[in-house]
Amino acid sequence: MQMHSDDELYAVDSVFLGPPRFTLPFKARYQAYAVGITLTIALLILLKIINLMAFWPIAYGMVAVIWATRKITPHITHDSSLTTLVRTVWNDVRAPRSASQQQETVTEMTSTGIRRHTYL
Amino acid sequence: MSRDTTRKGFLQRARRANFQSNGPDKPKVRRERGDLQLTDVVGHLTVTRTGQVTAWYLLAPQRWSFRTHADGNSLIAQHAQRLAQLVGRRLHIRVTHRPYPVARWAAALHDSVVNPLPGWDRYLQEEQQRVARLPLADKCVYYGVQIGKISSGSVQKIAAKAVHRQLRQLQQDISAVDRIMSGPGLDARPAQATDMDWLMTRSIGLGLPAPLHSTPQPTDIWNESDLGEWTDGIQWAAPSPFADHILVSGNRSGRREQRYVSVLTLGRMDLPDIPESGMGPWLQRLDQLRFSYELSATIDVRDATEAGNEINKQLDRIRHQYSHHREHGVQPPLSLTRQSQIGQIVEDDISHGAAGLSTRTRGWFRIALSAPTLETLEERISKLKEKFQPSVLIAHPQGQYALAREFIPGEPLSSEAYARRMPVRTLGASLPSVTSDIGDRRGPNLGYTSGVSRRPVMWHPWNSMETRDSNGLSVVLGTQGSGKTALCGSICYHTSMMGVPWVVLDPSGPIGRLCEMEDLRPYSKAINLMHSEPGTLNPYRMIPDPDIARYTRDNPEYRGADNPEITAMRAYQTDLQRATRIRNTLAQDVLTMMLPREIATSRETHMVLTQAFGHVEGTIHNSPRDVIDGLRKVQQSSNYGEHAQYLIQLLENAAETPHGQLIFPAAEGGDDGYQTRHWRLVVFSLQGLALPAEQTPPEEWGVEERLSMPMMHLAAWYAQSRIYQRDIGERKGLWLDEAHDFQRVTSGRELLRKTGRDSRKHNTRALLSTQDGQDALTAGLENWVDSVFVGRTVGSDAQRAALKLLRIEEGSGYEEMLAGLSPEVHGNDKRNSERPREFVFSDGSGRVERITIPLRQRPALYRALNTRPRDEERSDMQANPWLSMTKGKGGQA
Repeated sequence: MQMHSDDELYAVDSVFLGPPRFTLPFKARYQAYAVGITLTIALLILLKIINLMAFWPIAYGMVAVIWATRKITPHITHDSSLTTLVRTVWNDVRAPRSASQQQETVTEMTSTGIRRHTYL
Repeated sequence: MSRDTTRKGFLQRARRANFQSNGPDKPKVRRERGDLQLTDVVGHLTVTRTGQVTAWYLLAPQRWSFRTHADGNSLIAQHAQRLAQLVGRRLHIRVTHRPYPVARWAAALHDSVVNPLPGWDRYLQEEQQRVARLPLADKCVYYGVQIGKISSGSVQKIAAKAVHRQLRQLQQDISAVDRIMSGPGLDARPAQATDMDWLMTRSIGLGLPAPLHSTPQPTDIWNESDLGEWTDGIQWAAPSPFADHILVSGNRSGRREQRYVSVLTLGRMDLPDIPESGMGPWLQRLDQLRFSYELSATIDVRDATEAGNEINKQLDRIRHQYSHHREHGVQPPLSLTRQSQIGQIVEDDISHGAAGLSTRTRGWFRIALSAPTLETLEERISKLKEKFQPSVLIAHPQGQYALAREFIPGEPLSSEAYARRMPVRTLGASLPSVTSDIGDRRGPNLGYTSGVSRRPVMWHPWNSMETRDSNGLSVVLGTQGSGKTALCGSICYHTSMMGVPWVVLDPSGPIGRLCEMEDLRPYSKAINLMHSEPGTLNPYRMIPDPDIARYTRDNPEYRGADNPEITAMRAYQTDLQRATRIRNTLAQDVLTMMLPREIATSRETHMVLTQAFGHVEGTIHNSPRDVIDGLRKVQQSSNYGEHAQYLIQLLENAAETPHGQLIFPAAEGGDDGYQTRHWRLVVFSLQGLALPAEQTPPEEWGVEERLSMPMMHLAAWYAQSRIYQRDIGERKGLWLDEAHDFQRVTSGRELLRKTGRDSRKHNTRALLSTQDGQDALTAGLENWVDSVFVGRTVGSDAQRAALKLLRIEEGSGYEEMLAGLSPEVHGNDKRNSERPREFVFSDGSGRVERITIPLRQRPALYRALNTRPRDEERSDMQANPWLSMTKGKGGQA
C-alpha cells in the first residue's frame, strides 16, 4: 500500500520578492518581514521609553534588529511557526528548574565501600 | 537556594500573589505548576479540569510477521477504517511497557513439571536470572479517544456526584466509541483499573524504571485527592532553559531513582510502500530498539470539509507564489510545481477518494527516551535516529518539559510544532500494537524473537498434546551449520531437566556429549549401537504388538460406537495385522538394502523375496534368519531356485559381518529394555558407521556403505520402540537426527508417519531434524506436523518445501529471508561458530516468528552441542591429516 504524506503540501516557502514592477535584490520570507517589523516597533518603543530617539541610537538599533531577525528566522520552519516558537520559549522559561540545584549529596563510608546518598 | 531570587522565584511569587489576591475569605491554596490537568478517573474514563472526557482502551497485540502482502494490506485497511470512524475526535496514543513477568513464568514452569531431575531448583533459579537479564518487556498500547466535555471543575467541586451523572449522559457516545474500538484492526477493550493505574504510573514516572509489580486496585475510581498515589515522590525538572532533556526522579522499589529523559518528535516522513517494500508498520519499528521507550501521539481525525478547506487554502498560497514569481519575471522554484501537483491529488482524494480511507489526520508523535546518564541518553538518541533513517526525520525540539507532560493523560499539547499531516491509511500503517507473539508462557525459554520486535520465546513441547489435542511432531530444517543440532539439543537439555525421558538417535556421534554434562551425567546414557549384542537390530523386534489393554469398551475412542466391545476388538485385530505387515515390509526393505543395487532392483529378486516372505508369519518372534529359511523353501519349489540360492549366499555373507550380526541374531533375542528404561536421556549413537555421502549415487556404494543404510534405518525404529515402552500418558521425547535418509524406502516413510501419528496418543514430542523439508513432504508428514523450525535454507526447492511446511504462501519474498538466516561473519571463524542461530518458528497455533537461539548463555550446553571440531582436535588434524577421515559427520572428511 502506498504511504502518502501531506507534509510536502504544507512546506510552501512564501517569499516576498518586492512590490509590483520592483524586484528587491534579496529574497525573504513573509515571516522574516513579520519578525523584522515586530522587532523594529519594539526597538522604537524602547528608545522612546528611555528617551533616546536620535539618529545614531536608531541606526545602531536597526543593525541590531537585522542581526536579531537573521538569528531568529532560521528557527521558523515549516514544522515550527513563529507562534509555536514563542510558545516553546514560554514553555521553557516556565519549566521548573533542575532539582539538582536544590539537592544535597552526601558521601558515606560503609563497610562495603563508598555510598553516595542524594537527598532531593 | 539562592536561585529562588531568579526568574523561577519571580514566577512562583507572581503566581502565589495571584492566588492570594482572590479574596481574603478564600483559603490560600497554592497550586503547584506540577498540578495535573486530570481530576478524575472513572473506569476507563479520564476527566480533566476543563471537563474533557477521554475514554481509554487497551489494544490486543497484532501479529505481523510472515503475513502475505494481501493480509498485511488488509490489516492496515482495517486499522485505518476504524480510525476514520473517529472523525472529529482527538486520539491520544500511548505506548508503554510492562516488565516481563519472569517470576510468574518460572512459577508456571515449575508447576508444569513432573518429577524433575535433582538439579531442577538450581536450574530454574539460573534460568530465571538469565531471562530477567534480557531486555524484554510486554508492550502496552493504549488508545485514548476524546468523548466530549462536561461542566468545568468549579461545578464538580460543588457536587461531587455531578461528574458521574454527566458521565451517564455521555454513555451513548461512549458505547459508540466502544463498538468502534472493539472492531477488527484495533481489537481494543476498555482499560481496567490495573491498566489505568499502570498507564498513570508510567506516565507520571516517565522514564523511571518500571515498578516490579502492579498494585491490585480495590476500585476503578480515582478522585482528585487520590491522584497523589501516582504523583507523590515524583519530581520533574528542567536543568536549564532550552536544555535538551529533563530530569525525572522518584522512588522505585524502596530506592530513589533519577533518569535523564529526552523527548523527540517525528519530523518529515517519506515512507516506502508498506508491506511491499519489506518495511513493517512504521510506529512498530520502535520495538527494534534494544532499550525501553515511551510513545505519545496526539492525533486529530479531521472532518473532510475542514481538511478540504485547508488544502484549498494551501493551494491558493501556491498559486499566489506562482503568479508572484511570474509578476517579477523570476523562475518559480520547482518545489512549487511539485506542491501544486500534490495539492491537486490530495484535493481529488478528499472529494472523490475511497470512503473512509481518504480521511485526513493531523498528529504529533513524541518519543521519550530515558537513561541513567547523559552519555547513555545521547547514545540512545543516536540509535533511534539511525533506526528511522532515511524514511523519517527525528527532531529533538526545545521545550522538553512541556513536551514530556504530553505523555500524561489529560495534559494538553505543548505546541503545534512538528504536526504531521497524512491520510488515515498512512496512519493505519503505523500499527503500534503489532508485536511478536509466539510460544506459550509456561515452557522453557528457547531464546527470543528477532523479527519485528524482541520478545522471549517460551515453548512447552507437550502443551500442544495436553491442551490442544494436537500432534507432537516437530520438524527441524536447515542446511549444515544452520544450528539444527544446537536447537534440538537445547530443547532436549531443558526438558530433560524437567524430568522428561528422551531417546535420541545420533547417526554422527556428537550428541552423546550431552550425556557428559554435569547436570545430566548421573541420569543419562550414551549407547553405541554398533557395539551392541547380536540381534539388537532384528527388524521383527522393532514393531511391538498393540497393547490389548487399550482396546476396551471404556476407551473414549470406541465408547461412542454402537457396540464398543466389538469395535474395540476389530480395531485391535486391524492394528495387529498392520504391525505384522509393517514388520515384513521393514524386513524386506532392510534385506533389499543389504543387496547390491543391480540385484536389489531386479524383477527376479522382488519375486523371490515376496515368495520367501510368504513363509514368514511376521510376529515379534521372527528374525531375518526365517526369511533365509523361506528362501530355501522357494529354492526348492520355484522356477527361480538359482536366483534364490544366490540371494541366500549374499545374505548369509552379510550376516557374518559385524553390522550384519546386529540384524541376524544367532538366537531369538530377549527383552533388552533394561538398557534404556531407567535412564532419563538415552543417546543411541551409530559412531563408526560409514554413511555414504549424499552426492554419491547408490550404484557406487561400497559394501560397508551399503550395509550402513539398513543399520541406520533399523536404529531409528529401535529408538522409537524404546520410547514407546514407557507409559502411554507419560511425557516422552524422541529426537531423530539426520532424518532425511529414512524417506528413501517405504518402511522409512512408515517410520516417520508412525512417529507423527502416534505422538499425540503417546504424549511424545518427536523432533525430526533434516536438511530438506521435501523429505517431510515426500514422507506424507505434512498433516501430522505440529511445529516447524527452519534454519538457514538455500536452494529454491528446499525453500519452497520449508515455506509449505510453515504454511506461508510462496512468492512473498520469504525465500531470500530463509537463505539469509544466521548470516556468517566473514573472515572470523571464532565469531562464526559462536554466533547465535536464527530460525523461523511456527508453533502450531498459526503463529510464525523469526527467533534467535543464544547458546553462549549456558557455556556447558554450548560446549556439548558445538559440532565444529574443537581447537585441540583441529590441531591434531593439522598434525595428522588422516585423522580427519574418521572424525566429523558420518565419518566423512
